Amino acid sequence: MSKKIQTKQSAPTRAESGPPQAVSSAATSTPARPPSSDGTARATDSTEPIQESNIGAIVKEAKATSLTRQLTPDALKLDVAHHQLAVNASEQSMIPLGAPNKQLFFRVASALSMLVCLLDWKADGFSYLLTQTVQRAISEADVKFVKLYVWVDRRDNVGVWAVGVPYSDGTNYDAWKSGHKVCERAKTEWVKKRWNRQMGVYDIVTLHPSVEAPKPNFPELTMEEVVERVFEGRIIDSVDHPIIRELQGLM
Amino acid sequence: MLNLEGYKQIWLVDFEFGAPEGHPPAPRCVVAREFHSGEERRVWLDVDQPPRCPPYPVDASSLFIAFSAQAELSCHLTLGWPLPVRIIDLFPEFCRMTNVHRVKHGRSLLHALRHFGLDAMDSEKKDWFRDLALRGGPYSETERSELMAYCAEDVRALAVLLPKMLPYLDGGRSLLRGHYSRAVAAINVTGVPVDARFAWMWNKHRTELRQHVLRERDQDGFHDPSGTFRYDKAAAAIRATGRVWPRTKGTRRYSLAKDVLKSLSEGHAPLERLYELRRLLAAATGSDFVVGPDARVRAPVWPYSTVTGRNQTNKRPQLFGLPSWMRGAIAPAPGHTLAYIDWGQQEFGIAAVLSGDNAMLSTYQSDDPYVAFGIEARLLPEGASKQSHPKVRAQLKACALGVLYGKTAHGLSQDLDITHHEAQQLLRAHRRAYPTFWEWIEGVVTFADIQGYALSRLGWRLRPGPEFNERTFRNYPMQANAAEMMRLAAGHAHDRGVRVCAIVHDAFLIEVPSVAIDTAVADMRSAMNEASTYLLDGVTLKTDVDLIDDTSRMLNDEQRETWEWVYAKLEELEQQATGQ
Repeated sequence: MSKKIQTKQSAPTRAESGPPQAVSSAATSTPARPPSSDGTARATDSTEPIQESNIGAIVKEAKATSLTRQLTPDALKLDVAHHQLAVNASEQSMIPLGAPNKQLFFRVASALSMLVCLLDWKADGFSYLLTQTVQRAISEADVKFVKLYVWVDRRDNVGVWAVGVPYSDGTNYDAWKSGHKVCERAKTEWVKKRWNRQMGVYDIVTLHPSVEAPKPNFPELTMEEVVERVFEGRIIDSVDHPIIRELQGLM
Repeated sequence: MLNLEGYKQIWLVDFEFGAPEGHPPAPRCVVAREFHSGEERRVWLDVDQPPRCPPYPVDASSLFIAFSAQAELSCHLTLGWPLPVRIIDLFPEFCRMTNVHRVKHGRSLLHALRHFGLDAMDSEKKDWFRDLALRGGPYSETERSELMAYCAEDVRALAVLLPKMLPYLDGGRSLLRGHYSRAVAAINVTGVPVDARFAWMWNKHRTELRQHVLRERDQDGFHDPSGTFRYDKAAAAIRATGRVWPRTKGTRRYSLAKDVLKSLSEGHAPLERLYELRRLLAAATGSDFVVGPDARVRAPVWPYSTVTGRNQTNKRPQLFGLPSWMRGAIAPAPGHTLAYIDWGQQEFGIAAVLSGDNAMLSTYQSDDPYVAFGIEARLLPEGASKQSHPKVRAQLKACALGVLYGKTAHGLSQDLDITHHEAQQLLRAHRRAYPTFWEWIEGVVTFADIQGYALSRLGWRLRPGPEFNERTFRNYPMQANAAEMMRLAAGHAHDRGVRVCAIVHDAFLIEVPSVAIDTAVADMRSAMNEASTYLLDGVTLKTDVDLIDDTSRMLNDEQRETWEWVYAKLEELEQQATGQ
């Protein structure tokens, strides 16, 4: 290996005198006028092209004044936020049925929820929404009752989370109960859900108090419109529907 | 927003130049336009004695504006002109505006013009003129005037682009970003000195060398006599280590990607040999060394070309992107010494300071941060050292660095060849030892998610794309601020007159006459210290130095063995070729 000299400097420390002080205010948003005292920059009349005789002076000035230091006053450093991001309004063409991503914070629209009956059809992997007439015609064991919650994340993605509700025999699960709690909490603040494998429930992760939470952009839709978008082409409103007939062994 | 009123004049400047590979740029002409008055100055430069000063003022009362200013400033240096003092480079400003993770956005001047709905020259026409500039002289009168007219068109494009971009400029931070192009120009013009004989022999004999590599370096028989790679043998060797060889996503074949082989090979001698062999073969089948007449490799640095604001380099002639033993080709000019100065555990230090985790900062400041982490996490006893616990230290190092990249237990277990549970234990130990850091990093990710962007301390911004990738934003403060620190240090070094040949991730390669090496190293370290002290509010990060003189190379023992074998083999091939 090449020669190694002084492999480490003395242990780093916080400088007692703090960071280097700016020499000029030229780097702030209002650039300064050129130096008016004995700066060699003055030797060049900036309204004219540079003269050959002044090159040496300019180079000398550049070296002497440490330009980078001039351009780095303390005020230049940012703490956290500096810009607000403007986004264009957009409309989501489809609304997926599914829980929010576990990594993302989300809010739930308090005015948008609905109790419905779903049929998970294993043959195609889709969930179908059953109208009341249809659900009465088939066994409760073939369907599930859920509450639909409309959620949005910070990128204004909209989704619908179907959280199970107890069966008529009272069967209920902790996962469902905790899912409802997460959604209720998300009606008032930004939350993330985190699956607690040991306990079999969702934990609620909330924002740090120091974060200024923005307002959620809920879709300007009624719950019926949301349901139509979620279950487009997958609403079963007749017992003659092929899936129902197959379920009843008629096909 | 940048206030232009403080400047007497604002000059929009564009050069046309030839860029023969390995050479500094050869300026053909320059056109400059004063923003307010519209006055235009054109100078033809492809003459025996070009003017010795620019046709516009460059002192602090004037503002110099260009797109990818390092190219213009490289021309300044080639011509011996002084560099402008106040610079706005619209390239990084446009990159910053359109910096969205995993959303590709064209970044040329044409893209910028189209982005704002401005008329742009069609790219075919632009290519034609670029080729004309690259072709070199002699130029006819018509060609000269056409090339200058084209150059003037680009300058007029800058004049219409500037008012559109002005609201997006970031005040002093934009000036600071522009200022970095001075240092980049100097680095691009300087280049890295190399062993010219090696480069010449390499270019001449590398195809034949490949055959020798297969015959003499493949002791484990991973290739058959015709040179075909034996996947079955490699798969068997990997299976013997108990690891799984990942397949490519598309073709589902075993992956021969560099990173995959490197990760599989760690700690297993035959696979390490296979990895080195593949790298050697890849280099031999790759490209020629492009060396300038002054025995220097010039791999242009493209600043701000990654989402984190780090530089990107053209890999082909870039020595630092080649197998590590090829760094042996780096050799100082006679009477000179090279110094390779890097920050020690820079990202770890930045994380410790920005998170405000005092325990992590103490760990960073210790002689061996990874051993200190082990002691802090009670995984190592008091008094442990690198020598007493090498294996545990390696695991602690991988964990401490992996955490900065959002490494999961699964990833860590793969990297270290340990169980998932052991990896979990390591991560939990880190979380226990540095709770403030973990709280901070969660906040960083949350901020990016909620606010829709992340910022470095000097304003380099990244916005999430359609899909939010948590790990990118987890690592962003370290990467983006390390990039800021490198830029600041490069600026300070340039101000101090240090001759920097290359920027390599977290290191600078400088070259100076041997008699002045101590002063130059001190200047460079002082520039780096000033940068880290400024950015980290008073904390100075550690720096390490390696010296390379006539008698030494940038190689460790393993790299040296390969380097010496290749060099000897090339000499042998050359002797055979010349019949000596």
